[in-house]
Amino acid sequence: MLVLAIDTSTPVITAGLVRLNQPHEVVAAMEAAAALPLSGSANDGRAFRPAIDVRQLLAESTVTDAFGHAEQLMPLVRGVLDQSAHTIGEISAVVVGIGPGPFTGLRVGMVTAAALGDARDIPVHGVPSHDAMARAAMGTGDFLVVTDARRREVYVSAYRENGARVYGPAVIAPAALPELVAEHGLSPEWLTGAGAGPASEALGLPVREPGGSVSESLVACAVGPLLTAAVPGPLTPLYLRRPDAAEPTAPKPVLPVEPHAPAAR
Amino acid sequence: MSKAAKAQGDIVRLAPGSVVMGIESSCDETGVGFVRITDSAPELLGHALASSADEHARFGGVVPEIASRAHLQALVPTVHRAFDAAGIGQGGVDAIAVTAGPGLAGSLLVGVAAAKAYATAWGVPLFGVNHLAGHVAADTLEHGPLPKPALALLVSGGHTQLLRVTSLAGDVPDAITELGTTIDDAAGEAYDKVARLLDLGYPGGPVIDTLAATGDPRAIDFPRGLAAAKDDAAHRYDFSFSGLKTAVARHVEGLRRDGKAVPVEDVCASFQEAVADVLTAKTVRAATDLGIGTVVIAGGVAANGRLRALAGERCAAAGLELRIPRIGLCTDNGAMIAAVGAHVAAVGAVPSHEHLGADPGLPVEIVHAA
Ligand SMILES: [Zn+2]
Repeated sequence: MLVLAIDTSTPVITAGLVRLNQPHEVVAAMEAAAALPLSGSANDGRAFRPAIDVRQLLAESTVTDAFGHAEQLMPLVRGVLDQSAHTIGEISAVVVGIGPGPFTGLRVGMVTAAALGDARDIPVHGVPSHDAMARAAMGTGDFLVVTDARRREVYVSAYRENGARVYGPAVIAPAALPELVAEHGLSPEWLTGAGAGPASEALGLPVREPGGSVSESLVACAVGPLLTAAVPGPLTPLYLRRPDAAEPTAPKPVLPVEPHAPAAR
Repeated sequence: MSKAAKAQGDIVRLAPGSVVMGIESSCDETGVGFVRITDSAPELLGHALASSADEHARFGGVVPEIASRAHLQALVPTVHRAFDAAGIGQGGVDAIAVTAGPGLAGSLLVGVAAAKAYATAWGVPLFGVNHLAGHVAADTLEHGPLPKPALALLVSGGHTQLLRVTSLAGDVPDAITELGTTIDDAAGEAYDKVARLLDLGYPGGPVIDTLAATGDPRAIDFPRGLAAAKDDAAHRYDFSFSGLKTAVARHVEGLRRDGKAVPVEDVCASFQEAVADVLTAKTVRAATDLGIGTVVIAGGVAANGRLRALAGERCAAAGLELRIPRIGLCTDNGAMIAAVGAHVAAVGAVPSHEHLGADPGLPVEIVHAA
């Protein structure tokens, strides 16, 4: 099955096309390979088996544009389809990052995924964006994914070396990170994410660029529901902040203050 | 798939019978509507609306982030309800129109992103259109084609404008021009502020309209903004409601300070009279000055009883035809956006570029955004 992956939770707008092979397809390919005559002259007792991956990244494109998610995303989607010579009608599912991220950009990706899913009548699965970034960057040692939350704060999630999330996502000032790490008994050795800079300074830890693809990782994070054709739950963004809204105070008086009243400053 | 799916950059012209879907998300209403292109004005097939108005009530005005969150949740379900209302299936859509502006940036972007996804998924052309043109186009769904030119008064919580409308297709240079606008508050905003002053809740329009019905509109002589002779040169067709709001506050505070009861019905009736008077007087003046015979009033405030009555009297007296769409088409909705798309596509136009975004300050002259 062809899966479209989208993430707009950071200024790095991402679209990718991933082929996800069903278990029976993997098994069939292995059986077909096993039936082939042994190749090569060295008879070491093992059949030559052409690899068939569970997942295969066909195309991925990114554009970095902190305020251009709506403008850039659909051209990126069209681009990855064109690059891999597929059409939108061939997509069987969409996986989208549900944040955390600055709200307007995040919503663009989520409503795009929801509308594509609705228009093509295909399932749309939401994945926490940090989980996909963690999977794309995973290496040795526990680590944090840190992305920019604006207003001098960051979104942070903590992962074990094996990719399991043990804390977050949360929104916090970078200066408060050392305390948070101590309080939750975390032992990160490095950081990753678009916005890890200030956190790296606060924690004195190195930043690592992800070695893998975010699109492929999004699909990997949703592989269970994708392969079992599970009915997706509601797509709920990880906002982590309430809307800025203050209840109105009493209207300001327009008449002059009484002479005997203390002067208002 | 579409009757007119073409490569980007080509002019798309849709034949009668083609169906246009419209998506509106410029403020606190998520609207989706369907219209059919005919040889005459577009025909309304059905529309659906979701509103976050209740969530804004305790804040006394629209909170942009709350509105944007609500649009994301409501968009796809509203599309489904609109399809049900129109009695058509997904395969029957030939083009999509979406509000590209003006409006709240975060809200607009939800609609624009969704529209781009639907258009790509169905392989149909997309037209980003002007919300203000939508308010005028809504009337053509109910009352047929507009004479050229027509005069439109748009009044809502977000806009107060007098427009000269030559074409809703945007195919001529002076398709829509702004004759006048408010220099401070929108008319609907003035209603909300006066309602808050009188502790009447939000939104202010309906409750003030109701209370005014039993009050005396001549009880208090509130000022008419920009109606004095000295304003004629610079602001002949412009509006101002900030001074009126302050005058109401001054009056109410004075009564309270003196320990007198506030005659709420009379204050509402007198305030409303001042609003309706200045709106209708300037509208009739503009129509008369420019020799325009047809007036359209649209926007949420067009639901106001006194405005409708006074506009009716004054237009009749001046020999003007008055058209006001029914309430459901006066307030923000998706059908009005589909209607602009239908006007644009019936004449033929290049669909919006694939990098279409939202323009919170889209000028009224731009009916259809490139
Ligand atoms: Zn409006």
